[in-house]
Amino acid sequence: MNGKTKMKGKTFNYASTGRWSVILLAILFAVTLLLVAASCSPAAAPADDQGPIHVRLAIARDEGSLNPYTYVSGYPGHNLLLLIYDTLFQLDEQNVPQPWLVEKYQPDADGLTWSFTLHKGVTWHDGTPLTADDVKFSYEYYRKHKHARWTKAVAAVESIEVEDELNFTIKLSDPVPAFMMNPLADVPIIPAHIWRDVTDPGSFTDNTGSGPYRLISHEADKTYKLEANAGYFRGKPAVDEIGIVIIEDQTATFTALRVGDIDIAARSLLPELVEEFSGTTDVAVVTGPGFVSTLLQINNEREPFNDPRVRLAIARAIDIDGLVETVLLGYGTAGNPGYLHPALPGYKTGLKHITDPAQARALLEETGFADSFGDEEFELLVRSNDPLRVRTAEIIAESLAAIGMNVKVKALDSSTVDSLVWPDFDVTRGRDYDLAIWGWSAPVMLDPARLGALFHSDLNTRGSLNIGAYAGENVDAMVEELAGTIDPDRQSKLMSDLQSAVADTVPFVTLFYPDGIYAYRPGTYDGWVYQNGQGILNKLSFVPVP
Amino acid sequence: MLQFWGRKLMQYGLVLLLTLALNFSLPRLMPGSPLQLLAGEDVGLLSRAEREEIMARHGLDQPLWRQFTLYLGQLAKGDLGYSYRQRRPVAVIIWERLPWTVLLTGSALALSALAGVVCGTLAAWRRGRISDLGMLSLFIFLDSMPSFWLGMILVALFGSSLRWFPVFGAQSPFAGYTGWAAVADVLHHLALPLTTLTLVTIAGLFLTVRYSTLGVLGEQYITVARAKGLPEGRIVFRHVLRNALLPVITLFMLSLGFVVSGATVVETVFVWPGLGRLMFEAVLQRDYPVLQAAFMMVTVCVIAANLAADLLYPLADPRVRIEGRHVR
Repeated sequence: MNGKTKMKGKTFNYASTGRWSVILLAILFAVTLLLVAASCSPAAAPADDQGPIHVRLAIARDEGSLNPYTYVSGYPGHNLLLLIYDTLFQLDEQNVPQPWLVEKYQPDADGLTWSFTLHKGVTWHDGTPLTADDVKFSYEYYRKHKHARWTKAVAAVESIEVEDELNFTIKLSDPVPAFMMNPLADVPIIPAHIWRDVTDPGSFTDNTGSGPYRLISHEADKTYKLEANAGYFRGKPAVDEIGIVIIEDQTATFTALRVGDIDIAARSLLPELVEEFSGTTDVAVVTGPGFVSTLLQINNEREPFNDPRVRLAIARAIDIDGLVETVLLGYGTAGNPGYLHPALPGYKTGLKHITDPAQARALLEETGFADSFGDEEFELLVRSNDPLRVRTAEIIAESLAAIGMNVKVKALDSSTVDSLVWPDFDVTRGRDYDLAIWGWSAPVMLDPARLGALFHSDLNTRGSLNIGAYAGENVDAMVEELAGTIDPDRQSKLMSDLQSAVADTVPFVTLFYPDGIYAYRPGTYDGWVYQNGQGILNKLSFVPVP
Repeated sequence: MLQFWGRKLMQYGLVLLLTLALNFSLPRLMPGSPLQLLAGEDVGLLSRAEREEIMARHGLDQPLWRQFTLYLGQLAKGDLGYSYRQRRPVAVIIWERLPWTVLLTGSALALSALAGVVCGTLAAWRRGRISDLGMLSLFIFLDSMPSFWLGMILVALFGSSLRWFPVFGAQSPFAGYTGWAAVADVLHHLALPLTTLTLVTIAGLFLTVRYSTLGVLGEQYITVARAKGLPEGRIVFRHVLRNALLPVITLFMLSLGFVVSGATVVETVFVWPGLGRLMFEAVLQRDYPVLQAAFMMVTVCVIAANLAADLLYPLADPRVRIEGRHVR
């Protein structure tokens, strides 16, 4: 029986279904074929008109209402915050603090009293003049209303005396070694006339700043729009409007960049994508050193890692240059065993990582632990959402196997890793791990105060970032002296000694510092300035430093 | 009858309470703390007293049972709390997200149900022929494909290479469309995620319809209908489909419950501003209030869908209706 002969037009022609499924299959094949051929697409010619410049920037998460109490992340939240608000000083390309809101400054001999003169003609976004009273108000406000970053930064400020609208003096209770960097170049000044009566800053959403951009709209979890502050005291910013789009997914971010839906991404490009993007004419890639560190964190309290020789053996077993080549494809700098990035002025020249598995084995023999290693299994924790770190962990596990240590890589979600390595973000609450791939953000590289917190053995006071409970001989004394030293020669001597001590006693193994790799569309805007170690999302990219 | 409904209501109420307790405790039992969200990135520099002050401000220093009763009290007043990350009322956030998810998953479910029923019936009818085998292999192939993979392929092809469709989001940012232009913009953005989600959900419905239709086609009354010389189309739609659709209603109702949560992966790939992605982000960041509220939404939807299935099924299948009456 043939269905078609029985079928009348008015009912239903099922013979077409056969054809239909064939068509579907054909489409599927076509899709597969096209996909293979889909790698290259014609490049659009960069537009070169003189109209207003609108840059569309992609960030990964919502940053709240972007005022000093509501921004969320250190990067890019803090960077965006400082497009809206100003600081008294501004770090230049080489991270040297330069006067910004202030025009003149003068510290006294012991570094405890600093007098400043503000720049003339600075106004808030609402037109009110910015005066010395605003500075005094801001620093006192941060002291009173707790914020993890600002409150600590202004802790040493004893008093601020306002002489007139432009002149004021800051008195410190203790000398602060990098005072111009933090707080002066870090803490944003807020308008007293707006914040005076605010008692719960966490739920206050005003964004009136004095910076080169004002926030004109925010759709939570979707977009922000920043508009150039035409009356900015250092001249009109180079980009007229910055549209910020929130794209959580990494792949989607770079697809959007490729098709031209966005002009720049705040997140760093994965090393394996650099070649692909460099090959196109409409997308450019800029790279530079990054101050974010990647470490093999070691639990110094736990046997056998409480023996410095075991930690040194671990360091010797790892081929750090190999990691930079295989994991980062060369887009990174091999770790200084003394932690500090070699591009920083405080770096102790000549301090180099040594890879020597034979010596590592000898060290383990010497400790006597080597015999028992066969049965013991150590865990190496790593955040599962970071493919580069997972690869790093796997390679390290192999290197350690070669010296007889049985290490198992355990990839967990980042909150879980945090809770094991740094429970409640409080080092006094103990720790529950053997080894972990860890990293610190750029401020923990630049700021001597935070640097000391990594190494000081008193976890209740100065050692608040010492997540391995490390204790090194003389290290505490060096950290304490460094905290009160403002003489540059003595400072660099202490920094140099500290790095040597760290290299010898290995609180953790500094593996590498991944480069910042930023892809952008030069046809839209090409004036990005790479701030050493911190990337291109900064005030310098929009307003020149004098 | 009243007693029947009373019992049903009690049942559903109990299930709701239990799931609320689970939704409340599970996120808190996970390792990790929302402190970093609450205190900011420099949380490591805080003193112990400062940390405790922050936790206390959000009631996180209280014992778990106390936090739970506080939560229930708030909930009774219709207060879903504040998101730790966004510092906005959770109700507002969910209310913003919900329509997007319903638009995506709802239309995907409708499309895949329609296509599943049509293709399933046709395939069963043409069993063993090239069209049946073609569709069967196609849908099984689609079913075996992870949704993120299919989504990425579609983005790479139709978004990135051909540029027919946008590659992320639900609306063009900063376009400021209004009226029909805004609708067209949303539909344009919807095309790829909708296609992905439809293609990956179609297989289950297709297979169910196909098998149940095959079962019905073997019944004697179909042979009788054929013997009477009824047109094939009428046999299929009047006699076969009606009975073959019963299991499909169950399946459809169950899927309806997952409309709010079912598309996390697709939402992530396409950066679709829906609830699934919100939940995923909230889990990663331990944003307890958002987690609780979003899970509660899912729970309520699943329970409501079950209830609806309970109520609707007797309308579709008289046998259940009669048995139900006997049992009661």
